[in-house]
Amino acid sequence: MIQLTRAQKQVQKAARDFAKGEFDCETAREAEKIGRFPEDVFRRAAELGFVGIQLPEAYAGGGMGLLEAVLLAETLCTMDASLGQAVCDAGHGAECIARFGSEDQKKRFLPPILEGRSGMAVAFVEAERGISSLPATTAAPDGEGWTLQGTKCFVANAQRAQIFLTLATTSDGADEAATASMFIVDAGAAGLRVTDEGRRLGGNLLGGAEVTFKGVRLTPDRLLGTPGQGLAQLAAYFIERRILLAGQAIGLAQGAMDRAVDYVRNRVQFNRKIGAFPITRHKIAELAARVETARLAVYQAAAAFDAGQADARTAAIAKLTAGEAAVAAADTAIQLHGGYGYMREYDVERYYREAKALSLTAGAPGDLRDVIGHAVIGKLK
Amino acid sequence: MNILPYTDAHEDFRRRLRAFLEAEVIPEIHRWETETHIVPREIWRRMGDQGFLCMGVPPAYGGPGLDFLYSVIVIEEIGRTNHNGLAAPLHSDIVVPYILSYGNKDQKQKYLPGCVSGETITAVAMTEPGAGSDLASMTATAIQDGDTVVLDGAKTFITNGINADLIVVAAKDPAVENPHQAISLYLVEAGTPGFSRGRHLEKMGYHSQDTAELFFSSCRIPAENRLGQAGSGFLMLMEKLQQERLVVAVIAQAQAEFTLDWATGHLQGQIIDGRPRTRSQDVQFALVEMATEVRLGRTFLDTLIVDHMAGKNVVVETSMAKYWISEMAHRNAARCLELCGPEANLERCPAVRTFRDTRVLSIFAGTNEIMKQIAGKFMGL
Repeated sequence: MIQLTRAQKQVQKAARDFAKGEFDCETAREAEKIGRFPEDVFRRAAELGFVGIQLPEAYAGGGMGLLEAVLLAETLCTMDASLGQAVCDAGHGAECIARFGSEDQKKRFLPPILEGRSGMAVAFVEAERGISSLPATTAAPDGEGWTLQGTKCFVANAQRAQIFLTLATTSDGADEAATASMFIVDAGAAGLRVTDEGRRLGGNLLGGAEVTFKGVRLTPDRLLGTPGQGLAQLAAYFIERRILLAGQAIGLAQGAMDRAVDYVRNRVQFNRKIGAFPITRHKIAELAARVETARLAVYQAAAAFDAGQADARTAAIAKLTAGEAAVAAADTAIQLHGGYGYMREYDVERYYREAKALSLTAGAPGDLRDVIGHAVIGKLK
Repeated sequence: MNILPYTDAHEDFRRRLRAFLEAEVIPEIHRWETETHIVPREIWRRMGDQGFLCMGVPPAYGGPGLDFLYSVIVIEEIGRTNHNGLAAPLHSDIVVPYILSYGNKDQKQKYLPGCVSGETITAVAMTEPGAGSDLASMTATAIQDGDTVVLDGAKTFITNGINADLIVVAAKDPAVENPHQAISLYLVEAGTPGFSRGRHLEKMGYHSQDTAELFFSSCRIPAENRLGQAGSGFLMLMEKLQQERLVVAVIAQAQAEFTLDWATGHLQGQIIDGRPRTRSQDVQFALVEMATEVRLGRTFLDTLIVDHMAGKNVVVETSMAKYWISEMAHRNAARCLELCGPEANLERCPAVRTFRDTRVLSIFAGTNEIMKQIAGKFMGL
């Protein structure tokens, strides 16, 4: 087991204290029901330096590592699934600018996001392309810059975004030479349209939208990193993103399990606390085993990332294990709550929906198994 | 091989019902699920007009007097509409049978014609905030006072709780010590002073179903509204819960079949990177595995329906069917979400509603833990 440093334990404590003061389940339930982003909570989280905690201090990040970001995500999501995820993900995409952007781009775009003054969204996914495939969206060379054409979907946080990060195919040649690039697009750019996709199973605080680019003009300074490196950047992004989502997932799992344990300690049926029944104890034991195993995988992956040693396989294993642990924990928590578990009022149903939704993002289980299988077996001759 | 002896008359009935649901129910479901959260009484009356309610009630009481296969058809066809707000199966095949089996002639003459026509919507109130799995621990009381009975107590998670006009209420005579001999069932009309409805409960799924709390406060009803023998309530509940669990298994099977059909069609049409999703081996295997489970469920269930109709003792098999098919239906719905990927995080994806709705099947009508308890007992363990 990784021994946490004092500084890392302080991150956990700060996150716990913050959530105790700022999260309350009624606000969470209501925000989740109507799909409202908790602006006040997020602003205070940003003031404490929680947004982009793993990004450089020079651009208003926290200057810490991904393990600290995972500990933060885990703790916040344990305290509340929906609020925790919303706070963790409202600055999602900043890591791409920090990792791949030029000095100018970092200085210009990161501080407003990481200080919580502005929002951004990642628009990578397309309806008819695999999540790691060359996009159908194109950026055609156009004088000094490019013209962007295409449609992205399932874009979280789109309504709050001032800028979008997107991926487009930039070559016009034959398939084998086709390459993609990442771009930063202003939400107000002419030809950009955001269409709400309606209520979702999970992630309703951030919401989701389809984003259409119809002849959106991009100046040269909107290219992120080196041209043609888009798919390599996407692969690097997935490593960091999946580890961070896995951190949220172990938080969801722990939060659901905590609520189940609390319930079975108090609920009496057949003149006994239901926690006294062997079957209840075994169900809880199963969860404890899964959550702890997942936590090891996630911490290990985050520590490897901070040591510059994380790869696609480690990150995919962390997200697969943690995502499935979160789904199983919330599912069991509902069952142990009986009829109450199905009621909005008891929150575990919300944990279940958030967990299931999380397990589908940035690599559904099938995608993750593809990545892991490919890495483990290797190229066949 | 067809296990169930459906005749042409059954098939005609199924076609007629399906046409009715397509014309009058399916177009309204979205609004009921997302706006009103209740099915209008008018639909119940339309169901009654068309002869789709209370299939087992004999003509003497205004019913069609048909066999249980007609009920199975109604339950399945409503299940295939992918919504559970119109709880006609609960009304026709769970609540009304209490009146039909245990009511005296006067009670039947008074109440059954309205149940058949859809003028009277019914509910059954057993569960209490403190008495779920441990039904015998209920605390609602019924005290005889001359030719009246006074009811006091609270019931919860009552399906049709808001719409119900007539409620079968289980309550205890506090003078009787043995809880299994203290419970009687009473017919309570919704207008009775001292009866009130509590909150319309918000749930993970069943968003068009008016599940509610019910309160009885010095609620005085005529003593002649007792159903069957005084003190035999627990036995009546145990007897009728058999068919209730079978109904749940039929709903679960219908929803599993609906989801599999939907997912198969959807994945065949979903083109990712130029290839239908069903061309991937992992998707093919997943669909084959799910189809196998669905067929196993169907075979087990149909055999059980035949035995149930023949009056055989099917306590063990009914418990098994309720437990296994309810879990299979939800497991498969969850798996379909994974196969569909991030689009399955949107409520507009039909499998999301199935996922939310099927989660409760392993909880109500006796949790699956209670199912295993019962099966174990009758298997001599």
